[in-house]
Amino acid sequence: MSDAATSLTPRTSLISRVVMVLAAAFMLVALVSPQAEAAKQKRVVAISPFAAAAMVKIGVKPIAIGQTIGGERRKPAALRGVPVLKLSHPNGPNLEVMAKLRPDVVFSSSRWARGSQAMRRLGITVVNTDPLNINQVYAGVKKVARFIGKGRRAARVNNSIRNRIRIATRNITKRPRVLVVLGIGNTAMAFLGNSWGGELVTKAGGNLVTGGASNTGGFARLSDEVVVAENPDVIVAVPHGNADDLSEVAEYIMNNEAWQTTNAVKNGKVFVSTDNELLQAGTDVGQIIGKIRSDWLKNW
Amino acid sequence: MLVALVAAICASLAFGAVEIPLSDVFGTFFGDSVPETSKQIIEVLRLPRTVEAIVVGAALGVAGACLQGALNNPLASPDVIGVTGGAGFGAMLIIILNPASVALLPISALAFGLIAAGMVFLIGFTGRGGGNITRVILAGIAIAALFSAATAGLMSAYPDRVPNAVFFLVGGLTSTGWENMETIWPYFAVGFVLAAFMIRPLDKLMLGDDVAASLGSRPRLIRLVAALAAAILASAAAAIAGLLAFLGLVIPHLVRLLGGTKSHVFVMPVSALAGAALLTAGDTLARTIAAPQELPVGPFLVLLGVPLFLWLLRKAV
Repeated sequence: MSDAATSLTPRTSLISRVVMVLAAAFMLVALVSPQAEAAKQKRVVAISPFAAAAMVKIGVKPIAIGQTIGGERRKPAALRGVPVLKLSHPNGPNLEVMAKLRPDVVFSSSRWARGSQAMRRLGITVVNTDPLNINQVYAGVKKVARFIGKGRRAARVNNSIRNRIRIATRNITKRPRVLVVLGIGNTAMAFLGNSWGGELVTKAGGNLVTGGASNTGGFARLSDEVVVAENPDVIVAVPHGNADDLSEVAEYIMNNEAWQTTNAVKNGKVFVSTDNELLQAGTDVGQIIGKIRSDWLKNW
Repeated sequence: MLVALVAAICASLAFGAVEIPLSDVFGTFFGDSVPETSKQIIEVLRLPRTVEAIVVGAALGVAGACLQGALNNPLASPDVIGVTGGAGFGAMLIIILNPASVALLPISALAFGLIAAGMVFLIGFTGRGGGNITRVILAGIAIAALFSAATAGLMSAYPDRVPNAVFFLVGGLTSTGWENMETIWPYFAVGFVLAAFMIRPLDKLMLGDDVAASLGSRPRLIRLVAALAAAILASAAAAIAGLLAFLGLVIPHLVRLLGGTKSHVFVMPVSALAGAALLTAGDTLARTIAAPQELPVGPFLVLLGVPLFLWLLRKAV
């Protein structure tokens, strides 16, 4: 009996080992196969352009993205072909379309708050990720990475952003006075230091013309008297996404009677932002700062 | 009222976002040597803006007096004949659909203000029973609603461009030099002249249509011309300062309550002075109280005008 028992033990052990090895191999194959990757990967809709860009940097493609307001040039190549959702104020994407897409996570923005509430009622997890300053970019990347289950990749992406900013802000010797105005209206809606565009221009070496105005929204309707008194060397106009009207916007500012004596107008240093780089946060902070320096501030 | 206007003009020229010594303000006008920046701020920014405030305020005061007299209705204001709705739509067309052509904003606001008023007059003054006050007012309400709906449609279609439109909708003067005035002044001139000619006829109309007719007047024509003068003045005012219809409604009442008379010989010119004084003072406040930021003048007019109006109303009743 004991012989039989002892003779059976090695065979049982061998079988169980073979089974275990096979199971491990199967699991390994299953884990690395793309189908399993897709099955495991969350279905993510990135309404916020920042979140879409962050996802691409992390190495994950969203199943749909929100339409971009004010230019497509910053859209990462990897997002070409990804379905684009139309957005409307204040609801954001069409809720029936969202219900059909069945996303696990939607990266949205506070500007679509009403739509976010409705999406939550549909059982969709909605996360707001739309940074308003550079520090929030790093936090935003971490948040996106965490919600798509790629938390470890956030540090790599953030280091890359940090390095690009470091390179773009090196050797600033010239600090011109810069007025950045939003849209064109009867009076100048100026970018303040706490706006996305204002912070980038400051990082690029510009001294923002604000007359000391402060506003939690980041913009202020600035008196023309302040513009004349502070005499900007450079004026940058940010239109409301009307790419066709860019030359007319510059012409309008050049002809604005109130600003005729500013250095910017006298020296022809009036520029028009051709994309949404000063309005919409992204992961391309360093590149934008570089562009501001080389194209507008001429200090690089 | 003249003293109040002179005080408001002085304040408007002396105060702004940039502090300029009074000696420089006087120096600019008397040809003394003053720093170039100060001179430019006063000549190019403050002076045209003060003149605009005077003219627009006076125009709205007179427009209100004309309309309230013509329609024999104390609630009449440029809103009632569709001017506000039309001018608002005209401005939105430029600000929202074609912001690069913002220089055309005053023209568009003026044109659509006049188009709206024209539609109201066409419906209200023609055909059988034309000139009936109720018909004119109801036509005005309908046309105003039509243009307001079109404006709301534009704003909801382009929500990202709405912030630039807000300043116009709540009413506010700007520092764009003489450019606007150079284009719009003929309309103000025509409106003021027409209104001046309507002073005596409107007084006759106050006696009732039958009595006015027996005195040789033509009530329907008086109404039409007075309303036309109001429409031109209110459209021109909207072209420069956005939608400030509140002034047109309240100023003539203030003047009647202060003066104790309803005669247009008194109400019309004093409404002009009061409107000019209130708008000039309100604009000075709006551009200095949160300097260097500029606030729209509309809410300040309400803050200045309503307490005074309510106090007078209570005293009179």
